[in-house]
Amino acid sequence: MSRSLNEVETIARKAARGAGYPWGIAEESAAAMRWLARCGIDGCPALASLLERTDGSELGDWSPEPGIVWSAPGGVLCPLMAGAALSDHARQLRQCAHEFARMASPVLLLPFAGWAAARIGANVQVTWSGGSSFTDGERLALQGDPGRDLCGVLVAVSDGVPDARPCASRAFPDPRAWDRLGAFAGRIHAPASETSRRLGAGGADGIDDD
Amino acid sequence: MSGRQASLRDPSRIMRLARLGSMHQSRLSFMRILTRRMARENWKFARTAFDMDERGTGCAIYSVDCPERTYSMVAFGHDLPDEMRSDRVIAEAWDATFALLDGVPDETDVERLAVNVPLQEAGRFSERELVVSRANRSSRLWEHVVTALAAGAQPDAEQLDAVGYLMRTTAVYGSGKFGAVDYAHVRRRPELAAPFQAEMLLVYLIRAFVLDLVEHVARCRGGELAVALDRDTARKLGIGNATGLGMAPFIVNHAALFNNWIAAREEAIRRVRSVPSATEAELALFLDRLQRSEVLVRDWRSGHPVQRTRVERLQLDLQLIKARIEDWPGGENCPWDRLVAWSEAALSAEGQECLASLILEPYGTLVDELSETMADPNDGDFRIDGSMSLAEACGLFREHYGWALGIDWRMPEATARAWYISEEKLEPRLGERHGEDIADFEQPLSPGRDAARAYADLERWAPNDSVAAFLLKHPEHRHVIRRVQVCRTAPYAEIHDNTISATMLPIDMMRAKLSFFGATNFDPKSDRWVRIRMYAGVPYPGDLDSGNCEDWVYPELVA
Repeated sequence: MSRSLNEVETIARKAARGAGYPWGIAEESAAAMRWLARCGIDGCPALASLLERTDGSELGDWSPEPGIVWSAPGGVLCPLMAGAALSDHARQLRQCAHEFARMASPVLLLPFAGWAAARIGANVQVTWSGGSSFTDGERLALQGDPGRDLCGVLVAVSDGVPDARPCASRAFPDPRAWDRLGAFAGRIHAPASETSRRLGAGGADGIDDD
Repeated sequence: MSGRQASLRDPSRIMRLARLGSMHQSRLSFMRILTRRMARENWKFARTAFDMDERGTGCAIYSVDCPERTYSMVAFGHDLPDEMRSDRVIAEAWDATFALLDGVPDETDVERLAVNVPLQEAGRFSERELVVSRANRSSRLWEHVVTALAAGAQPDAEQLDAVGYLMRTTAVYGSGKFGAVDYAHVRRRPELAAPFQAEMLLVYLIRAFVLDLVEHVARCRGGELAVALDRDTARKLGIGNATGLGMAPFIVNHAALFNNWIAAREEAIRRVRSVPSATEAELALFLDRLQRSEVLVRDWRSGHPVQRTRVERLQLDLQLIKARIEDWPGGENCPWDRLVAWSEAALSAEGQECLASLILEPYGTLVDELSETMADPNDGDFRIDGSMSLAEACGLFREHYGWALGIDWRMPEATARAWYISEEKLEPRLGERHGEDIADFEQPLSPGRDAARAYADLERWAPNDSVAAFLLKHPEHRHVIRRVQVCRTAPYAEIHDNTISATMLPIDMMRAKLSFFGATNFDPKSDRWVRIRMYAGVPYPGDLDSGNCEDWVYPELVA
């Protein structure tokens, strides 16, 4: 089934929040999934797998600590936390490349490389063992599949963007991944309670009276 | 323009909830932007199918040709039993359901829509659909009008005035909802570039359909005896709309977009206040709209005690404006600026905002172009500038959230409410934080409290540290750092009031949004839902022209 990019954005925001991320990172998750969908990439399986791995753990364990190589105290970086840091530190790319240690669901880092490119007005290349991607902020060229886990990722300013992927106006998410995201998204909805009903929730407001 | 330039009104005064809850329609309202374009470009309307039975069940198609393309409304009538009629967003059946389609539907489209449109939220839509909506009959008025017309008589004017519409919509969904096309995909079309134009077009077509339907049902019942509704009477009818809590979070969730609405209107007000002198024709037009506003306000009925008092005060305010401009030398130095300055002490907030909208009326050539600045070109996406220093960030917090830094957030009444989404109905709700187990489910709709929390942590950092470094340690403040950076170039983005206090009124947030749609006759039914009128007075398709596309909001004066 085809989905609107708005639907992809909405489920990604809710799911990331449902999995325990702060609202600001949930917003990044939404924008990243929309960015990927516009480049014709279904990020849902990668996001679902990431949220299942980080669920219930300490976010700090997955967050990047600055260094020559940015790495996570827990051993594996979250691409949303690493991506947010990359996009926030975009200007440093002008001076030197950013190297990240082991990272989960690395395809989710690519939109942040795009935003870093847009911020500094340059093309940015993401390289990993067996592949690379190029972006100017709008378009993406992808050579090889970044897969489930990467041992290391290098982000650097590059010359051009070869053969960018065509722009997509619809998303075609994997249905199973969509349902897994839906389960996380459902966690942000408050269950009905007797107290809430007594205090007026879902009450008579709006009943037609004319 | 030469001479003195007036200033923009200060966001700290405009962005208060009470002020936002007093906003009025203007030349920059989305309905008026649309009717102006429809007349200027001479859009052609046609009813291409009307297969409805005597109960109002069936399907109808209306098409509209604008310069570069055609849109179609596909409408379904359902004849809902009275006991199933509810305005709540959670209802599952309606008297009529609609979709606005890109292009002209073929049989397959109609079959697909016949399965999905009546289901609304439970249906699936495609890239060809722009907007989905539904409406219920006013049970008070519908039967009265059908009975009268079927018997060859006109309905009672008093009853028509009291309700003001034959059907009211209970939701209008666009922007990619339930699979419909994303706004980003169609925003470059000139006719959809201003906000909510597709939604406003669908509602305009719904109003035409409703008139056709009521006359059709009356004809089926009365046969040759039946008459059509008097055209002047029909024109006074609008489309009602019932709006609940679901709309209130929109203006917080779309801060940059909301800024552009307010900023466009404020810039329009500033431009008119800078006009050095008014011509006789400009004064005459202003006076005409002022007098016709009196009729509009006189017919504004509300059962809500607070709103009723405010409407009564607005009637007085309009008299005060009239007295003020009697023998008014329009040639004096910046007359509109003086009038607005006077109003700030002399009139209620309702009166001040009504006047601020009214002074724009004679100046279309100055202000109408601002409609092109009201969309958000980034569709809500905003990238944080990590290189900003914390000294600058703190300055922005003080400038845009000073009001929030002064609130004692430890007091229970300051955080009495929490916005959440219910599992039961997936609808936004406002609960009592200290009485219900909802805090863990809270939506980020309290920028003031969150700004105060972020600022407390920021103060512990060195001023020359960067936002990027701060956010590495404090990802929980990321959403509010984004908001404060939005405010840097969008000073009207944020409501300067506590949106979770014990005393806040959600209807103020809804009123602000609905006034930009161009709604009138706000009739709050509680502090959290409101009925309004849309398009009352607008000419029907075919009658709209450059002579009447602008002033239709204001009722004609009866000699």
